[in-house]
Amino acid sequence: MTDAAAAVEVEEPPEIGDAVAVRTEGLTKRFGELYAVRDLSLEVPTGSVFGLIGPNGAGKSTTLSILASVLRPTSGTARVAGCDPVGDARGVRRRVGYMPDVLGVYDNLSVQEYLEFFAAAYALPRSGWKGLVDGLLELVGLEVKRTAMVESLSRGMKQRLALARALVHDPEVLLLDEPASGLDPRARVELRVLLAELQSMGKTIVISSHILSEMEEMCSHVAIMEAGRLLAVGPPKEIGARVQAVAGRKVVVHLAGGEVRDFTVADEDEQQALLRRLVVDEGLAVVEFRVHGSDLEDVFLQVTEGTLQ
Amino acid sequence: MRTLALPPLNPVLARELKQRMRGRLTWLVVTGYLAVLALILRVVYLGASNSLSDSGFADPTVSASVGRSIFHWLLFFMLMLVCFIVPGLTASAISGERERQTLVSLQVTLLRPRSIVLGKVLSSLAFTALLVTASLPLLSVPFLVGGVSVVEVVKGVAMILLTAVVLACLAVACSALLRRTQAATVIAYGLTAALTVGTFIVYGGQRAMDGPVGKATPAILALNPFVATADVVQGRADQSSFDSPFTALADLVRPDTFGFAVDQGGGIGFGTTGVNKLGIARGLSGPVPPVPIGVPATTALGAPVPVPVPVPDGAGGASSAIQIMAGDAPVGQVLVGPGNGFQFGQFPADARPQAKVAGLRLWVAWLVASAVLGGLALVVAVRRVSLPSARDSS
Repeated sequence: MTDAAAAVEVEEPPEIGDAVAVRTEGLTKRFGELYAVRDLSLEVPTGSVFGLIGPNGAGKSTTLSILASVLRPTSGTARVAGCDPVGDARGVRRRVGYMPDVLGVYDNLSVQEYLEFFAAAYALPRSGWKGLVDGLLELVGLEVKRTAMVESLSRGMKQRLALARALVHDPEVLLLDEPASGLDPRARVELRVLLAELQSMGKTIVISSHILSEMEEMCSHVAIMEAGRLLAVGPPKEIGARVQAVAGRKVVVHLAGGEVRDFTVADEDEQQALLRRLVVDEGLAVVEFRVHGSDLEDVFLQVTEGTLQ
Repeated sequence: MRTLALPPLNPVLARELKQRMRGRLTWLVVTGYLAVLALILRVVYLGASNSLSDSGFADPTVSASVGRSIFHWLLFFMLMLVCFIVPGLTASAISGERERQTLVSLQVTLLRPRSIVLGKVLSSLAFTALLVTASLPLLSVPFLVGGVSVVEVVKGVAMILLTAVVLACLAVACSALLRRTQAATVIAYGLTAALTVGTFIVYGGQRAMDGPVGKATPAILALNPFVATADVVQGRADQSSFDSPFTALADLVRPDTFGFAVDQGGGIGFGTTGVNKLGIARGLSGPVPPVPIGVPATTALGAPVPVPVPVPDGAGGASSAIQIMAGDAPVGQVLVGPGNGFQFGQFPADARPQAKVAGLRLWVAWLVASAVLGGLALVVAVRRVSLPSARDSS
């Protein structure tokens, strides 16, 4: 029985306490004249699922790269699982599982060999490889693909394999860069279930995405970034409300006869008033009245920098 | 392999070996390499067997020189093929992972950068070793006709493998420094060409400016694996004349020495020597004016020559010995007799200067230069693979 497999059977998910798994202070990364990350200060509670949200180019990937000891920050400090990614990169690597936003796989290697290679790369004893690979494949649901060649896997499967790879050394903290990108809806649901399972194993998960609605259900905390800056941080419901307060709620109304009308309302009161107006005052035959979730990309197109604060 | 109690292999090496041996291209390369080499063997053997049929296997001297000739040509082409294969094999080592987007995942493991680089180099070298091993049966053909000792074969193969090591180190550095495999491949082949062909061009330039005679071993050639191999397999005492691509190379690196021709009247002419018995005639280019014994002279080649000094000897008669001095040191001696025409002479093999660079035998100098070059390349590659990187351009 491996660590990973054993940990699946933890009875109850640990509470999110006051402990901090990841902390950054004034983190800045500059590429030439471009600030990829600007003065970012974050605290990720241990055991949380922490979503980094922002449009493409917001600095999410750069932030995760710095935390994973891949990039050296221009200034500022970070601590991940108690280690400094610059001064103690090996300490970080021992405790952190990092899944980059790109899915690199090797030719001519089976799924099992792929995971065994990373087990070797983490200097795990060979005697434990079999149990470890069994446990990981079970966790990510790839048992039947054990002997399949890695390059033959579908995108979703590759994504899950990459996740298994990031878990090989049973890290405390997982840094997942856009794990849901390019996945079909079913694969997204599976990923969500998997992340919940990992959270129940007591791991802290930092995950980046550019789709707010997707994160709302998964994350216990979200941080919104744009142009390298942190715009807002907090539980997703709260953030969602703040985004809607600025951008308004989109309401789609379907009328009998197939006519569709769009409205934008500020809050719940206005939403009620709109419904009353349509049905009572105007006497329209409303067959469907739906509030649209906010798509962050849309929001960011409308909302200029800084207005969320 | 798993059932054996082997020490853990470098993970990168273990993975690469697995992948490489599963690739279809691998067997094409091995087959192509052996096919080319077998073809060369056939051509060389055909050429050599002509001289064999003239005098037959019965003459051991002829037979031996044919054997050596085959061996040297094979070795030469093996070296050439290694120069073609190793850079191409290694130039994608790091950049290929970068392009496949697997490098970062590798770098964030507990693998040390030097393990990554070393695993990559060893993987290329393992394949090169496979090629060389596969061609050993071809190298055994010279044994049929004789003239080659096992020690010589081992020396020659060792030089090929060492050359592969240097080229792999340089190529892996290219691969680590450059983002694209294409660029890395071009630069790696460029460096290989610089070491092999480029050094000759520089040497040729030096030669054209400095004149042909009286110069020490050109140091730049100490970087050339072909010249170093020639120095190893040719040896300094090789007097027999046989067809070998290494002969001319070994000639190049020896310090220019003088041969001489003595006529009946006691006049003496000088020229640069070649390596074999006939070399002296070859070395005497242009009209060589007879020089009276005991008089300092300048050859038609325009360089100062050692002073021939008559040796007072009690032998008397028509014979007299002429000692050739280079500075204060006697470097050769020839007996002048009353025979017909010219006598050609050459310094005895053991008196002929060895090829030395900075006081080291040439092949040792090559080893040192290669170790420095390869070591530097590895250091550069390891530094480039180390994270976190401070790169500030996106």
